[in-house]
Amino acid sequence: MSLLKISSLVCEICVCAVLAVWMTAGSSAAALDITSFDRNRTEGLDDEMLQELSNGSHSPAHSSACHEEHKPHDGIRLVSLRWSEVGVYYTITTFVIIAGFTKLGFHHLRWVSSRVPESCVLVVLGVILGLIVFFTTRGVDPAAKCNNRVELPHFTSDKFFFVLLPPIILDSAYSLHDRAFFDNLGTVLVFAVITLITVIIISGPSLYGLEVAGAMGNISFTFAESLVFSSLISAVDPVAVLAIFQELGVNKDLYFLIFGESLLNDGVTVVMYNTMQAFMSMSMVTAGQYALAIIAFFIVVCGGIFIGIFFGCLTALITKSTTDVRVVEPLAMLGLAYLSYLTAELFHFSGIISLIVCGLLQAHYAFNNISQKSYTCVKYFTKMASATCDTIIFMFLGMVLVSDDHVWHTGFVLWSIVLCFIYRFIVVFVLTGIMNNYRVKKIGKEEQFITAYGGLRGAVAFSLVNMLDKKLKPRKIFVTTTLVVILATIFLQGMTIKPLVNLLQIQKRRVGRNNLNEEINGTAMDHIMAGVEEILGQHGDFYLRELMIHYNDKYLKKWFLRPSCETKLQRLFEKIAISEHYAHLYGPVAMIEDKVKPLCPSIKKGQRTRVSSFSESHSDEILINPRLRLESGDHGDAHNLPGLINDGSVQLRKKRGSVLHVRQSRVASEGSQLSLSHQSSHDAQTLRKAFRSNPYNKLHYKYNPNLVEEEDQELAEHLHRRHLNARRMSRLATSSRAPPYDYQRQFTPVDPTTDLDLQDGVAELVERHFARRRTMSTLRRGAPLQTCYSSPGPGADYPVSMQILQALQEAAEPCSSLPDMRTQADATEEPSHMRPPSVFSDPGRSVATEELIKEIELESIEPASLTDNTENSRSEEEALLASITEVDSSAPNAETEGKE
Amino acid sequence: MGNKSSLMLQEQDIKDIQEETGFLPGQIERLYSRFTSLDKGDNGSLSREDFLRIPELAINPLGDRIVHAFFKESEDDHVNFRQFVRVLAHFRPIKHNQENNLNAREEKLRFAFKMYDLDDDERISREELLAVLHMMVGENISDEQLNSIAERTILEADTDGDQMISFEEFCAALERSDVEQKMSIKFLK
Repeated sequence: MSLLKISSLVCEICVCAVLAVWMTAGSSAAALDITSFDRNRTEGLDDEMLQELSNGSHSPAHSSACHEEHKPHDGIRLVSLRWSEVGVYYTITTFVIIAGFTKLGFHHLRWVSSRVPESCVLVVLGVILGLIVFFTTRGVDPAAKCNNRVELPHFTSDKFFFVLLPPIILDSAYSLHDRAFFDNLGTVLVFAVITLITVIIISGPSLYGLEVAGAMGNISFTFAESLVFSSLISAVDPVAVLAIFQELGVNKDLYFLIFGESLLNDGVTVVMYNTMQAFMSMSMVTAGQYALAIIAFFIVVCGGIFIGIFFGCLTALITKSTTDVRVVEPLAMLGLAYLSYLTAELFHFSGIISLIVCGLLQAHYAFNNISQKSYTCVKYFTKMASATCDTIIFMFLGMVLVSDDHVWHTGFVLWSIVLCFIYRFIVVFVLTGIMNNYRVKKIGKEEQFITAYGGLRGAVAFSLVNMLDKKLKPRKIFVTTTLVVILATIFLQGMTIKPLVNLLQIQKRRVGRNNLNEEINGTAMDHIMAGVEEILGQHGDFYLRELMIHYNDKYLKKWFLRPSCETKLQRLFEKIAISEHYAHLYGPVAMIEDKVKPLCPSIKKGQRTRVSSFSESHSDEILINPRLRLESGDHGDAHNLPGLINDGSVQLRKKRGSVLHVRQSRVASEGSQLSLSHQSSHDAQTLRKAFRSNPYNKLHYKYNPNLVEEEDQELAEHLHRRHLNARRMSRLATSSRAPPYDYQRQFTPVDPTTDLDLQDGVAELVERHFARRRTMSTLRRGAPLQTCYSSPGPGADYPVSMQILQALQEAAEPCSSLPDMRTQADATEEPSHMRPPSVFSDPGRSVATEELIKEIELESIEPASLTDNTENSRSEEEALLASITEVDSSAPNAETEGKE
Repeated sequence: MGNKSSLMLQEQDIKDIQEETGFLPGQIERLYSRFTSLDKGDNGSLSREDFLRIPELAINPLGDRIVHAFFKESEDDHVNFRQFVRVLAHFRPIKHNQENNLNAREEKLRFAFKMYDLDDDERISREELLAVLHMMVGENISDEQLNSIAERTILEADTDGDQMISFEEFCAALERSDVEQKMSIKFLK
């Protein structure tokens, strides 16, 4: 298996290589009658594309120089290549695709991806690619360069800053819209600004001092040059940090501390770099210049922030009025974000800061305005673009390593690495020591270590060093050293940080979404804390937050949000409600379908494949609350069923005033009625009718021109959810009702001809399920079983009808004889959630009831624990299903689901 | 004003309070000066009006509830300094080396719990939850939806099936959230 994967990767590399050779060794192109295309520029392909567009197919200047011999054929040609026109785009596209696909290969190589960070592998691949290009082009005569070659894309600073970096920054800006980031904003800013400046100010002179002292050996650079170098090498790189830390999954506070720092220190880096470069060209630096440099810093940062705010608000305003033209929503989001970056760069402000601010505002306002689909589109596009750019950047880094231009200087390289490493540690530890005095949540020693250790350098530094003046003497040494420092941090620190995080037992990131309680109480706590701060007269974080929320609610929301926008709480509730709704809606139906599948293979096959293709994306969406599965289901179905008894519910409504009880009791009585009237064929028929008119079909054909909540109309979505629910339903149903062998005996011998048996079986299945459901809902209402049994008729608080009681006893029977399945399920669940047994400890009770109670206890497990154990329950479910159906086709599907 | 008020606080009082709440003497003096500046009537205790005079509390949706929480222990609707400090002690950050009951996780949670539980029956009913939700979300959500949210919330936390959230259930539901950090304030030094 793994051999296959390796070979696939090797294949990819080979394709890479072949393409590289093909594109670079252009001699074959001449034979193919390709008109020439000058590749001699140093500007990179983007400029060429512009040139191309402005000049038509190719400029007359070089066509006269090199291509006299290739006179165009007269007449009509049947087959020809248009490499001259297509070549550039072809190369770029191919390169991007191949770079993107290496990610795929990396993830299939399990043993590599578990040990080595992706960025390292990409750098290595880049080196390989670089080597291939290097050796294939070395022999080519420079004079022949004006010919038909299309170079492989290579690293240029422009390309990096204007094409590759923005998507990554935008994607991270969206991810920064998180409570944890804003809670840590103060510390992040201190890190981003003060740490960086301190490191630059210490390490520059240190390098100079070492040079003067002769510790480095034979090298000469001025004080100003050492400062320039230190200003570009000290900044932590967002791309490198993101690549490593996304895989790590450390807790949010630590993640945003490091990642936020790396993002926000861009402003400082750019200013420091420009200032130092200016100093370098000056003979004398006056105090006024320093003051100007400080002012410049504020202008760069504030200008960036201002432009970001402007474009962020503009996006919000535009998306407010896109209800009728949903198509432009992603364009507005992405286009304006990029424009904010470009505008900031146009005025020499910090583009990264501008883009971050814009992205944050977009996430805050515009995301709420746009439709779900547009949101998905934006999300996927930024993710895809940033992942691809990330890959390309690292491959570029590997490729630039292979070059004739390097000047290696051991002393300088080693000292740079050592100083970068040591100074970062010292500064981080000192600063966090100071910051901890002002923080409620202290940054522990281990986390400080990871913060310091995670200071990876990356492509930003390399772009900056590339932008250095060509005439600068130690330029080549600087370039080489920067590259080595980058690679050293990426490889040494990047590869060891994962074991270190585990070793230091850094708290990991919490997975899963909030439940409603957490959401509500989170808000309540914020208000409480703000209130207490107000009482204390101490205007701290909570107070500021409260004030901001207040103004946001009062003024800003009116301007930037659609009136119909939902709150966070509402969205969470809807998510939960919808997922449960589907569970209620399709649970029983799908459960039956799952069982029917082996009997009608033709249908099954089609369905299987369709479902499995979507099974990867939404696995975590559905929260199943065993208690609610039927209670709040659709009323349409319930009405269609015969024998629906409403008298109990009316009574309940009067007494308790709770909608929930009405629902519960309705289902309960319906179930009891079903189980009492044991006419299976009749029931099956009614059921089928009910199934046919179920809301699934109605939903499906609804005319919906405005695409409101139109994911409800997607077959794929439905099928997927339904399938997932079905599996859980069947697991729950089978685990407590019948062991697998029993089920097999009932169903496997049935062939398609014996339709009646099938119907009987289906009906029985459903009705058993109802019976169980009903008993559960009875108990849930808080009445101990004892009172149910001892006092028939309405109790003091919780009226229980006679039918329910009868059904209770009845339902107890089937499960009494088959305890082994239950115990198996028992073992997998946490016992702490069980109900205290003391309530039910009555010696005079029958064995059957005891079994029933155990089963109910099992069911009354918290929904939270159920979602927590999804992994568990799913695998268990798979095992069950496999044993139940014993059908080959279920196996591959089960495998794919188990992987999630 | 600050000087005068700290003089009024006896050494012995400070010690007692320090022992009870874990506040440092400096912090207690600060709190006392805040207490006296809130105490417009100069009668050594705070009435509800004194609290509600704080302008910022007006925009706090739970302002009334928070003020109410201060009066849980007082009989005559006045809060003296000891009670004032004791309530605030719930919000001290938890430190590993010192054991103090007042700022334990459970106490913090209990304070939050009391925000809902107006009738002191150790249970949050649907109506109580709805009231708080109404305060917090304002006009943004329709009543119908808020109803169902409240219902769901109770169902989510409710393990014993009484349609109420008891304190134990409340704690269990918030097991994963970082209450220790969230409900702590960096007190003035």
